[in-house]
Amino acid sequence: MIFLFAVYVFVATQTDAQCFSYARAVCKTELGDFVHDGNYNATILSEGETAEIYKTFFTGQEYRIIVCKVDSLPQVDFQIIDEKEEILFDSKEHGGVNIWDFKLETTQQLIIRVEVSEKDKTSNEKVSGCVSILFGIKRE
Amino acid sequence: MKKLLRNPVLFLVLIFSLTIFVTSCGTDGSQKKKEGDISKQAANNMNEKAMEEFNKSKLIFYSLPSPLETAMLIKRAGAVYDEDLLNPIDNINRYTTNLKMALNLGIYSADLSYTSLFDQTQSSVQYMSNAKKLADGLGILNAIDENTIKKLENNMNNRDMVLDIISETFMNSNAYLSEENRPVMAVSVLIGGWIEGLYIATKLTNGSLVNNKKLIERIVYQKLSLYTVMNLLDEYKGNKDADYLLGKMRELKVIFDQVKIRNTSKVEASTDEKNKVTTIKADSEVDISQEVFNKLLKKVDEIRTEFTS
Repeated sequence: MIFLFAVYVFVATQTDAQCFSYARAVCKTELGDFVHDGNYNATILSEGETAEIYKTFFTGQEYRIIVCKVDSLPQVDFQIIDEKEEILFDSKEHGGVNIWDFKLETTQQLIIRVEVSEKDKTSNEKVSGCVSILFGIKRE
Repeated sequence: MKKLLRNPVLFLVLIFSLTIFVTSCGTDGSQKKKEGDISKQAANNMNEKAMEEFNKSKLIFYSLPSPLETAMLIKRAGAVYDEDLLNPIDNINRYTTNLKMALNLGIYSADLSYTSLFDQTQSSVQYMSNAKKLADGLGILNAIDENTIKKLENNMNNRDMVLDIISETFMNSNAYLSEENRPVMAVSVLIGGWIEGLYIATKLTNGSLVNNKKLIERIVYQKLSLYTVMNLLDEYKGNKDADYLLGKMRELKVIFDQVKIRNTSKVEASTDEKNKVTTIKADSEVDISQEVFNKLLKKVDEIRTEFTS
């Protein structure tokens, strides 16, 4: 009985490990000609929540951003923003894509803002789940 | 308690209730989150707009270039291969504290990336082996196992495959440390890799600002990554290892503050819809004097020597 309890608790608390497994098994498959930079950016987000990644992107490299989410979450959108909060790219303006490539003529620090939409804004029940953001660098 | 154990239904109800309690902080893909009592009370005192903002939490992450990206940046800037610059394999025996192991896991990962990009197969296997020892020492389960090293050996002539293996092992380590609530160790690995990249790049210039302008540009723009490093460490102020690293980064910041980087035009984006690529452009000015560059070389050398000693 104690063993079953231990197993049950172990399985129920492995949500973060599932997020990593999800990022690795599902998100990475969309990299194509790009090599994953090796960084792990994944977290549990709820409907209506936003995450931002501050990252320096270098000239001379082409990047691919992939934003993945578990099926139970509604649409997740992302924006590429400069340090003055100007929006340089908005996935909502491109059919809600989850993959996009970009390159820079001058090295910049940019912000990637990821937002989970809300299925029903009036509801107090919010679905949450794994959202993963991967960056790939184009191979030579 | 004995009565409870004799009654399986009651026992299972207790187990179930305890599990709900234990797992209430975590979530999975299908669990629904309800507003807590505290937020309901707060809602009574806030207007509708403020409540909307209150409910939307914003998580912020700071992402450093990984050791792999750092090595790619250096190679693409026209750097040559120089094995003498790398952290000697035998130095591994020096690293017995968690901080030193984490820093040098980053350093050896950067060295591994650098040797792989220059197709130095023998060295790559040795650096991967060292990375494995340090990952094991840090208790990072399954980040790098014997199969990974065999896979690397079997694919040494396939650079794409080698880079994929390196990136996978790095992601495994990074994810494990983050998810095991060891963020300072995760950050230390990244900082070790970043400093090693900066060290290799600065050494390859031989102190000249004119011989390889692309490489100089790469080095100068690390000022932006330094801000990321400091923001990352700031989150863990009070932790002994984070405070030590923050101190080192502040010494570097004193010098980088004398390097000027400025956008001279607005940042603009143009998108090629057909190929789904956006090009981001801005004019910028960079200014670094020979005196400041010399100070930077010296400080990077000093910090890297301290990390690898």
